[in-house]
Amino acid sequence: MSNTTTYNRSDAIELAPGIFHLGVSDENNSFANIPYLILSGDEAVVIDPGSAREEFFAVVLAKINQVLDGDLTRIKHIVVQHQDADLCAAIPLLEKYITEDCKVYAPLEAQVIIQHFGAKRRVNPLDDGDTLTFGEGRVLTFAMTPYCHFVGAMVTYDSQTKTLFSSDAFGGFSSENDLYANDNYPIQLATFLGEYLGSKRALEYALKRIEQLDAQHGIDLICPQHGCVIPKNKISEYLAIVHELEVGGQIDALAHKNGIIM
Amino acid sequence: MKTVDAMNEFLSNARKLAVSQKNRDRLVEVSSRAGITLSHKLELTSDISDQQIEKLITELSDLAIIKIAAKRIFRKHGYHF
Repeated sequence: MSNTTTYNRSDAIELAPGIFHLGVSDENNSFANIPYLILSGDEAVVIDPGSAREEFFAVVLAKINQVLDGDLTRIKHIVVQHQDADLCAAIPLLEKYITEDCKVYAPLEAQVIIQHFGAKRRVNPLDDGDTLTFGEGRVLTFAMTPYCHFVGAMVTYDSQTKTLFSSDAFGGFSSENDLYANDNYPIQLATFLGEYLGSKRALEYALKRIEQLDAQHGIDLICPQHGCVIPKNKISEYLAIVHELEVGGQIDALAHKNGIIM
Repeated sequence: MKTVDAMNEFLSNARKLAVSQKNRDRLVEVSSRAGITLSHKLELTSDISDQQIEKLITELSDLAIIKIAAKRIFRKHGYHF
C-alpha cells in the first residue's frame, strides 16, 4: 500500500508491486477517471485506459510514459471492463503509441459496442473465468458481473498482489484527489453507484462473486475506475455499505410521474 | 418539516460531494435562482417550500453530479424526481 494520500496530474502512484494508479481528478465535475497499469517484467497491461477528452488523456499518457520510461511498446494488453466511453474511448488515441501485437480484451457483450469507438484492432471477447498470463507469469482472472451496470461488465483480479480492479463497482463521485477512501466516501459512492445501477439482483451477484474471490484467494486492495481506492482494512466495511445500497430509484419516480403502475 | 429535513439531508450530502469552495459557491448561486438562501458553508438560512425544491432541481442542471445527488435524496423524502 502506498504511503501517498493524494494523487496529482503528473505522478503515477505504485499502489502495490507493479500496480500503478494513473488517475485524473475532476474538480469541476466530481468524476475522476482512473486507469491502471500492471507491470510484469518487460510487459504491461492497461486496465480501462480512459477518456478521449484531451485534458484527461494527456495526463494518463504522461503517467504511462513515466512508468514505462517512455517505451509504450511494452503495453502488450489493454483490458476494458465494460463499454462506457470513460473507460475505453482513449483506445484509438493509445493506438498511436502501441505495437500491432498489443491485444485489447473486453467482455463479449461489451466487445460489440467498443468496436464503435474506432480502434483499428480487434477487440477480443472474454468469458467468465478467462485468464491472462503475461510478463513473468503474472496472472489476471476475469469475473463477469452482468448488468452491473451493463450486461457485458466484469471485474479483474490480480493474484500476485490480491488486487481487484472493480471498474464502476465501488466507484464514487469525488471532486477531490484523495487516493484512499475517507469519511466522505460512503456518500460519494452511494450517490454514484446507487444511481448508475438499476438492479439489486445484479449488484448482489457481483458482491457475492467478489466475496467468493476474497474467500478463495484474498483481496487486499479494491481499485475502482472512479473515486477512491479501498484498502484492505476497509474492504469489509465497504462490502457492507454496498450490500445495503438502494438502486433503481428513478424507475419508481418516473412511474409515479407518468401514472404507470409497476 | 419535510421540506427542511429533505433540504438539510441534501446539503449534508452536497458538502461531501462539492468539497471545494468554488463548487460550493456554484451551488449557493444556483440555489439562489430557486429562491433558496444558503450560507457559504452550504447551510440553509431560510424557510423552503415544495415549489422551491422543484425549482432547485431544474436549476441544478448546471451541476450534474449535485443534481443526481439531489434527486436521490429528495426521493427518499417522498418527492418524485
